[in-house]
Amino acid sequence: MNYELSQDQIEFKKKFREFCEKGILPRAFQVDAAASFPWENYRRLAQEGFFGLLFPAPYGGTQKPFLTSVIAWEELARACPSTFLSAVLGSILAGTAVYRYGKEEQKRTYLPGLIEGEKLGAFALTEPQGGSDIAALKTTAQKNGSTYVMNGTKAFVINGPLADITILFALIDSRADQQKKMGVFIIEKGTAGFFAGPALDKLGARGAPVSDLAFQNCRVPETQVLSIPGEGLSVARKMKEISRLGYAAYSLGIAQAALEEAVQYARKRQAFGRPIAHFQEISFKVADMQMYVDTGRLLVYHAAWMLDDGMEAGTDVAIAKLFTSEAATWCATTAVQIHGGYGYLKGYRVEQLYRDAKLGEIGEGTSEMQRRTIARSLLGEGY
Amino acid sequence: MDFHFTHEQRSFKEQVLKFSQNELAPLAEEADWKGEFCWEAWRKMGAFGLLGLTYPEEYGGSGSDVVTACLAGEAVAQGGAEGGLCLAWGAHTYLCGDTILKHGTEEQKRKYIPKIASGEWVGAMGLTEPGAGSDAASIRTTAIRKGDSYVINGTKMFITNGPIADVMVILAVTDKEKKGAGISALIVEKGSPGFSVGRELKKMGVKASTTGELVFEDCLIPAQNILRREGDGFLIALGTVEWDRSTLLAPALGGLEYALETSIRYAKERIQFGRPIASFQAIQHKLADMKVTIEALRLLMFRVAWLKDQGKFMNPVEAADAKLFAGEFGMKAAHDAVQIHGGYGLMHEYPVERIFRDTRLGSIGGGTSEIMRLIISRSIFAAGKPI
Repeated sequence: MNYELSQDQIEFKKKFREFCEKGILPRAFQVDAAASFPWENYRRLAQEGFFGLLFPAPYGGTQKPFLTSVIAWEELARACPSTFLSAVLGSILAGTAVYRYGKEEQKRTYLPGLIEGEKLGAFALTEPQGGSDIAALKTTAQKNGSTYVMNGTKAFVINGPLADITILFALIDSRADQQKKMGVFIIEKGTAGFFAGPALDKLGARGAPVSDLAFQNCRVPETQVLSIPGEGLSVARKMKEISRLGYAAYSLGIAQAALEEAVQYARKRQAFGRPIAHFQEISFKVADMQMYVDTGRLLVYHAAWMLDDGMEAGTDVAIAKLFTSEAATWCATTAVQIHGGYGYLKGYRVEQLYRDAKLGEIGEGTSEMQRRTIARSLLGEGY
Repeated sequence: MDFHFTHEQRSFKEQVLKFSQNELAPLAEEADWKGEFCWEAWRKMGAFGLLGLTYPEEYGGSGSDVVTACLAGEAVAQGGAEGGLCLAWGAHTYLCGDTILKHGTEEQKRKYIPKIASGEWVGAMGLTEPGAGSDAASIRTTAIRKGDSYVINGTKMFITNGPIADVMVILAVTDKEKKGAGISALIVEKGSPGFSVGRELKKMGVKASTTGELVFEDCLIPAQNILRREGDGFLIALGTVEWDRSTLLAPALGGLEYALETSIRYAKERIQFGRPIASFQAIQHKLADMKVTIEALRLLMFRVAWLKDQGKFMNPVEAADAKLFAGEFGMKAAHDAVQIHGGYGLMHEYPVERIFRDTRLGSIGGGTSEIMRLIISRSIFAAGKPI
């Protein structure tokens, strides 16, 4: 047993935080206000080696344990949730799918660009009528000789409008057994019949472009098949773990940022002749925030450690995501409360964090879906 | 990071769990109902070696690390033991025994620790007074040195094991001028002249632990019964209350696991509208929330235990986080367990009714949730350090 990060990880966290504070945070407000893609942040993250943390050297990465990645993820989310969403749950998620399930040639073709930050990736599973209910997906991939023909619509795709490569889940044989009918494909930008909709206007994480994707007789060669045709469902399930861990780190970073903002404000804001931090109504709220963040971090690190250790971590990732996302919305709303009227103003960071936090309870399975996953693990099948 | 328990730790936990299920759980309902200390369960725990787990073997203990001791605490409660028994165990082994072990002279250790480890003697610790709880510096019980004796005067309140204790560690003021630095810790034996149990208090939960008011009226004890030196009492007490916020939380974790297992079983058996209520999402989500609480508390609690095993004796913020979480989220989980049971959840014969009452102690005993928030917020604001 060891509850502490290694010395290397502690150093890494410190360095990465410094980088985020200097290189990412200064643009967080503008990225949100203009709802513009954080290109400059993207470039800097790539320079810092952020996109290579999960991938080995032959593709340009520095492959570190999940835990190390999660440390960086938290710091990035703390600095700029929009940048996090695009970088981690767009590009890195797509890259992870390629790395885990791709053939060598696919990895050599796509990973270096993603790792260098020159290419953007997207992960397209959810559809207008089905997200967590994977079995309800309708997009088809009809095999025709050595090509597949795609038809259907995907929804809520992070990086959708900009992505150079999109990981697409589609039904290859609607008559086949539930477990065997899904295929996974790598779709390149510009493929005929592939259309990305405009970026959708959102409550939070406004700098990360999210859109629908449409496929109308979109043809791709069979070399674009990822994994084994028909194994899509199990790929989707495994990828969900990583994606949910990503959202947990997203929420953790936001909760930490909200805590820090609340502490700073409570120290300097005076009322009745003293800093409001001296009032228990304020300081006890901050204590609860600290307890939430501390607990959430343990859950997130623990889940990451389980993945590193090769354990079945589906339930623990769901627990980490559920707890941290609800902690983050609570911490953000409490931080706004501590700021009083100022917390309601544009330009105060807590106003943005409050909006950004909500996504944590929705993305990659709502809190209700996480509870369902956890309950299944307790009750077994049949309930 | 590494969250694995060792093979020995896991197999020991299994043994304790079986022991609790077979030997302690059957005694729980009656002990709770009567609100009486269960000597039969106590003797069984002593014989199993649970009462002196962390003490060195030369004093009759097992030399366990703190993590193992917490696993045992978890397992005893998870197996269905009554909460008061677990509380009595904590007060006895950690608050009293461990304090003597850590701060006593060789002679004091030889005299008391083996008897505490076996359970032959029951231990207690007396800090709280009618007018002083977490504000320990304001205690008013005095101990005045007179020749080879101390003369103790005052009243202690809410003392777990007080009415049945053979040996107690008592905090008293030896020098009024020095405030906190004038507090000392003294060993008082049952039967000391001038010592009496004022009244035994009846409680909402953890009922099979005895709780008493202790009265000292010119109580005379030998001067050599002091722990360390005069004025060291506050420091000793600080270390002791941290057990409250770590090892003593282990049964809270186990109790919630027992409540969850019981609730799952009930939800699968209970049929409404033609199907088990476990198939309704309203029930499933409560179970899921209980599970989240359990897994989070496990990490929080074992972190404090692990830190202690690393030789880090005082971990106020980590301990306060664990205690605050256990107190607040534990109550919600216990509430859900009762809710899942519906009307049966209110009945004595269903263990969740007992667990609900026992759990209520969590945000009060060993420092209220408010005190935990005070500790945490002070660590943030007073220190002025970055977080």
